[in-house]
Amino acid sequence: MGVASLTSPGQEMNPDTARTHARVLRGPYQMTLDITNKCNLRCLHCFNRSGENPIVEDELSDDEVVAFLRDVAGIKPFNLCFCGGEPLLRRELLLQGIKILADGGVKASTVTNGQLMTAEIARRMADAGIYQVQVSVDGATPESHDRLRNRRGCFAKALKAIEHLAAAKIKVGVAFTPTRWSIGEVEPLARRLRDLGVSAMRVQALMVMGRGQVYSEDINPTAGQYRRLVADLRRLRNTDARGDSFHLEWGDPVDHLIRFSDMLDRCCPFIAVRANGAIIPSIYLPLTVGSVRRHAFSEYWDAGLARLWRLPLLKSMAARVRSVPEMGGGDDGTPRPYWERDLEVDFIDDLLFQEVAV
Amino acid sequence: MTPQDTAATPGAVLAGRVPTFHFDRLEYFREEKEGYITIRSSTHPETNEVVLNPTANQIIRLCDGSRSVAAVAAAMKGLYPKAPPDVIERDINTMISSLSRMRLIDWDGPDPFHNPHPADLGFGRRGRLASEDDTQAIVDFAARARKSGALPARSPAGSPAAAPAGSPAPAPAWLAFRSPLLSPGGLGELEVRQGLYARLDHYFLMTCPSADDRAGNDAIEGVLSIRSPLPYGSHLAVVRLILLPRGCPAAPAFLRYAADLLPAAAPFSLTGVRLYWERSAALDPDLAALIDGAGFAAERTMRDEMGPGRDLIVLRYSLGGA
Repeated sequence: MGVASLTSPGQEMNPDTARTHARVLRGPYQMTLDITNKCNLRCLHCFNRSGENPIVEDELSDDEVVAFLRDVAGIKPFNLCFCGGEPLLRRELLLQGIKILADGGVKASTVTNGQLMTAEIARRMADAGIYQVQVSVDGATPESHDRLRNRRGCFAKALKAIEHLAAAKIKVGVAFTPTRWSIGEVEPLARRLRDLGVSAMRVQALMVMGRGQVYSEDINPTAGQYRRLVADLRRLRNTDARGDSFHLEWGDPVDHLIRFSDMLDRCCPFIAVRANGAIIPSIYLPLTVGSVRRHAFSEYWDAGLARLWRLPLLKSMAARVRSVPEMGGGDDGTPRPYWERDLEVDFIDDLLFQEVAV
Repeated sequence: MTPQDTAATPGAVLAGRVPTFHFDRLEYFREEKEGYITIRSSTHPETNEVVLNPTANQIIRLCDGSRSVAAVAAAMKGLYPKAPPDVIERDINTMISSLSRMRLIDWDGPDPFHNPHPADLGFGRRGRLASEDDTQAIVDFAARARKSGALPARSPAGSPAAAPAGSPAPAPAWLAFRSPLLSPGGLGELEVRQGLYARLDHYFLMTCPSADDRAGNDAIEGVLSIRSPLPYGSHLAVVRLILLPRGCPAAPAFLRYAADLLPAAAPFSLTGVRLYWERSAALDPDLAALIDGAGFAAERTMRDEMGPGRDLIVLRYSLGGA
């Protein structure tokens, strides 16, 4: 009899155990798919330049997306999030994808700017089996939100979207990106969202990349503002707990680059896929390691993709981004993410699996 | 709560007990290759995916409520006749302990893995580790302390109850400390229960057998609450609350007892405990002496951490051998 063991892949562990996990796991636990990079808005802070980046003209067809999702449903990750762009621009495909995953026992979630949400779509999402929807709300007032979203009227539609989703009994989260002008609004926004039935609010530093890099000087909060924001969040969590399920989170976009590269490189349970089918270790790095157009995702995984972060190339790219201001890249000869084409290698065709096997 | 015999070996305590593994409490289940499985508990949200190897997978399937732990061990010994019997028993006990703490296993009676570890502290006091069913007693104790001024709703963290300006300042009846970094909340039922249930907060209770309450349980006389590490990868717990009667001679022994028990009680590996204290909030000299005597040492001072002129002092207690 082998020693009975119970181990958590999300934690740092001894190399032998991690190597075993990489061999036996049928797939990752967490995945994201940019179902489109097209977008109906041109938000000033958009980290991947949705609507304008080099990917939008080369997106997977509906059939390719469906084939990919069926493959993913077969390996059953815990969760797959449909990201964007604005996912509702491919509404019917999104609904079909949610159903494929939900039928396979995968928690399907999505993000949205809320502009295209209707009561009918929310109901259809619920019927398809959606797990959670995250709506972007970037201020407590129409002026704040709409200024960042670059269009009037967005704030009212985002809040209406939350109402539609809550009415359909869908779990709703909100992403709030603070700007120089909205960073003091976290408290009134949190109170309003809680009253609307939102279950979680993720506040994350504005990422200095994509359009966020272009407009950084105008929109990026100062260090002092961020410090006060964190104090506000701490105070809110300490004094405003009513015992309900509202969760206030201060997210860190850089954390995973350090964690995956330094701690989980022998078995990383997260993988992302771009709208063009490119398999990427992180949505913030300009490196693709395969394409679901060349091989099924499960083939990449079975070839050893869990050990992807052992790649020296990936480690060196991640090592260049150790803080939010470094996210935009481009100063060291590597491509600027979402401005230039990614560095492209193929985990199978370039025999990279041999590099990570040892 | 029934105090259990801490001297008994885990195996002896468990052998006759009947465990039931609840597949219906899994938020996620995936069959992996080579007989491995991944599970995720819906009853213990702090734990994400957990991988069970083929042997562990076999054990949970034998825990179907129809056989005792001894019978599970016998079945495994039958499946693996060449494996050392003591290794099989140890593995089963370890496995079942972890899954029981994740609330994935129910028992034919009280949970044998929640041992309150009762201990004599001397001076007529006893110490024990609280569990979920102590929630109301802790809430009532905190309410009593609050009523007598130990936990005013808005007192500066880390300070004893402040006397009104201009009035003489009698020594408060309590030594009270609340971490300025962690939510002290109102010590309401929900907060206390959630902390206990998630094994996030560990409450060490000092009780006085001579002051029995109406239910016949030992009355709580003091509380030390320690929060598990929150940042990813941290192995340092944080003192959240100390509430002790001033001048209690058993207080030093109580802190030693908690420090000894903490590594075993926490579902994480710990290397130490931090205590954060805001310098501008005067620390009661008696409490400072108690903390110093317990072995906390100054780690560093974080200047202006709590605001202009409000430095944060970090004390650390190292858990030897952890």
